[in-house]
Amino acid sequence: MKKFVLGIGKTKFGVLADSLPQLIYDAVCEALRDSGLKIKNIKTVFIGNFLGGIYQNQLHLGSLFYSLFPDFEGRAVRVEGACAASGLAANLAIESLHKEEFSMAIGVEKMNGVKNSIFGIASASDMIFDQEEGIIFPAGYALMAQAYFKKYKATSDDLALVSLKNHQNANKNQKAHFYGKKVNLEMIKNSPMVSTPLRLFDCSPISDGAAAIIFGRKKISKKSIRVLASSAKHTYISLSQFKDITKIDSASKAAKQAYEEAGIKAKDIDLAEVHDCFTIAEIIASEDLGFFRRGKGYIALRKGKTKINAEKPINPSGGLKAGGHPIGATGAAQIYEAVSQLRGEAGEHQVKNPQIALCHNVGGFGGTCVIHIFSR
Amino acid sequence: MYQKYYCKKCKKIFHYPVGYCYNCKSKLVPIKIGKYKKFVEIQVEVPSLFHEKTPYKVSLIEDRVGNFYLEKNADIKKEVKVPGKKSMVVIKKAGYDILGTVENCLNLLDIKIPKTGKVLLKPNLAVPSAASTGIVTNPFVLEGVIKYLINHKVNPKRIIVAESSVIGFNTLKAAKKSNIWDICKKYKISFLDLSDEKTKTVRKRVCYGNNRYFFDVFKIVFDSCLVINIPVVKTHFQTGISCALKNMKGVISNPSRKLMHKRSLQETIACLNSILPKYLTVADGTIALEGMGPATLGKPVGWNVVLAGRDPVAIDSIVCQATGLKKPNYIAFSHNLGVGEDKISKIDILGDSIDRVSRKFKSAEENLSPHPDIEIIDGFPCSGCLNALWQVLYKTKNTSGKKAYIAFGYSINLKKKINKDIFCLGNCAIRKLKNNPKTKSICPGCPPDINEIERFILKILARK
Repeated sequence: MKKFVLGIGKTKFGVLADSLPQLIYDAVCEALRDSGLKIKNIKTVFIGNFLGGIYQNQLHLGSLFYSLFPDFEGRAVRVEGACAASGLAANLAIESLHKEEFSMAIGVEKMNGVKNSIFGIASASDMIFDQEEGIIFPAGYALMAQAYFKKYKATSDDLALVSLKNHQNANKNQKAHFYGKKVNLEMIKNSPMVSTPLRLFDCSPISDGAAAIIFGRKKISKKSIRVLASSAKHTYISLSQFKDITKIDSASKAAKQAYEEAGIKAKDIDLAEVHDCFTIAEIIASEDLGFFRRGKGYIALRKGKTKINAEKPINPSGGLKAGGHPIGATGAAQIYEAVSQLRGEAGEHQVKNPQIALCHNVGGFGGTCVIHIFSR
Repeated sequence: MYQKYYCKKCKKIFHYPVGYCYNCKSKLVPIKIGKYKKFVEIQVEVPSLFHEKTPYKVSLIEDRVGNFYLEKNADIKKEVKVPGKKSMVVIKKAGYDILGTVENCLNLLDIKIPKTGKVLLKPNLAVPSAASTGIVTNPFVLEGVIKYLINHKVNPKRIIVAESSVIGFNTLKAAKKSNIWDICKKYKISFLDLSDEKTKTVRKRVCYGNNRYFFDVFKIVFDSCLVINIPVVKTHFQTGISCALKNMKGVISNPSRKLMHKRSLQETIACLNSILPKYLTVADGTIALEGMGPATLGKPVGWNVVLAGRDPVAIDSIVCQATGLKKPNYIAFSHNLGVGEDKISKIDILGDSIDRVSRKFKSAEENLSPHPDIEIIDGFPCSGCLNALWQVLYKTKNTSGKKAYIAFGYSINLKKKINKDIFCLGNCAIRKLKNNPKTKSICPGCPPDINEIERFILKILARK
């Protein structure tokens, strides 16, 4: 059965005054307008959200969705998979097309205006093995970076290149958290240290935002984009349980399955939105996805191969690093970007004539990974 | 480092102490860690809720077979330290395996258990509460000690769990509510309610400077060949902290406990510990208590730490250092009396470093009335009156009324002239102030019933 993306919607990402219901509402309305469908047509909704319970004391999002759209006649379910929450929601929405004609995946997160935001995010790691040992997420990815440096001789200058590229892309993306912010290498290299070797500019920001994607079995307009593959895999929750922290097994496994499902190879991907919650994560992802061989991701980066309109454009939206990372909304926002790019609607940050796009959404230290592949 | 487990049949590694393999149902065996080294290390510069003190280091440690372990402020050399002659304390992060952690702590201490005689276990059952509140000893810690003893060929019939709750509270009820009663039943171990008036005591006398004290200590303490003190790490609004030294207050009769409050609590805790036989301490910091401890007004903290040692002074000093709580005077007094070592530099620490387990605890406010319209005349009451009154004052703090003084405890000293009415709470204060013309009304009892106290307070506030 063929599956399509029929409509997309996304709020701006950043420090927003909007409430969580408002964010959901705006993203869903935009997706409905984009598809031309009515809320009545959609029978299944999966809402990706991670921190609503911890930060907003707001769960029971299915019912909240009904309160926003009283014409809705189907079921709405909250999906939690840390930073991969809405990637998982999309995966479930696509799977549900076996039963329903239309389905929707929403991603939403409201992170600003909360004291101790690090506390909530850390709940995506193991409470005892990680959190009690001081492993907040920048610390965990810093360990991954140190291990990568040790194994492959990369340096923190390579991380700065990821940051610079993604800020340059976000600078052209109106919905990005750091739209219009001009960043140079000096700023990146002199930013405060968060956790050695990761500096402030190596970390994604605390953002608010939402995105919504409508899926269907039939192409309803020229704008409809085909879903070639959707795959989700897991690995261990704690870094202490990994065998090698310079790679994420769930990502390689999910990518392998997705390529098989789509009948393509890594080299066929024209652009990728990858989960660069920290700069090191983009380098590791580019290897996990098979774009570059192990230990060669940073060399490709140095050669500029991942820039917009280069050989393998990665994160033309600015990624999580500069586009913003409202945790539960990130997976859906990546799909929004991939679909915009394939439609040729991305504007200033448009990649030249892409045919196939990939989205790579990771939860925690890779404990959950969801891969989607789309084509024109 | 946290223990990993292995299924011999399926060759699978398990990271959690789940007991058996989901595949073949075989019993999991702990993996011997053997030699290990730091693989990579980072320094974290930003504080988070559990780790306020920065910078701190986190190491990824790799063992011989390539398993990883994460450790904050890891001190690799520490593990190979040979116990010296100094006071020795084992500190261990408990992780998911409390029983195993307790056993590891005791193994490191290398205890010689006499082949005959009773083994007395003294948990903390201050008031009837569940273990999740941090008010009482976690039954898993007690079970860990029991399992260690049984594994070392101690017949369960030789083991006795004994405690006496805060005056006015039922010890058996506390044992049942905390599930310690169930643990005793599970291992067929007898539970002794020391608050029973028939329990035999031995009078012991001691001097501290010019002050002379006596304590009626339960005879069972001297009759036992081994005493294991199992306190819970708590803040205490009278003594600052409550841990190893303070917990032994439960082995003396109620009249002696009241006397401790009438005299200097700090001095008497030290003196009491100086007359007790040497005991072993396994301090339960798995769920500790911060804020207005030691009872229901405190806030539980998942600290996840177990400390063990023969020196209660050293344990209390380490607890203060790790939690950032002010060292109470009784620690120094106990050191002066030769109970143990209070200087961290002179203590051998095995297992984890203090830095690894350090976490800032909120201290208890000292003798500050939580009610804006009620002032306290502090006569150093015992925990019975104190806990009950504080609970009621917190509960009623939003009920305003006419200002009043409430006196409680035996050592009331009316230095400043009080022109307002004084209300007496508990038999001690009533006895002391019965002839004072300012005394208006009384709430008798030892301690008075908590509902009676509430009615009494509301009546005082509502008076014209």
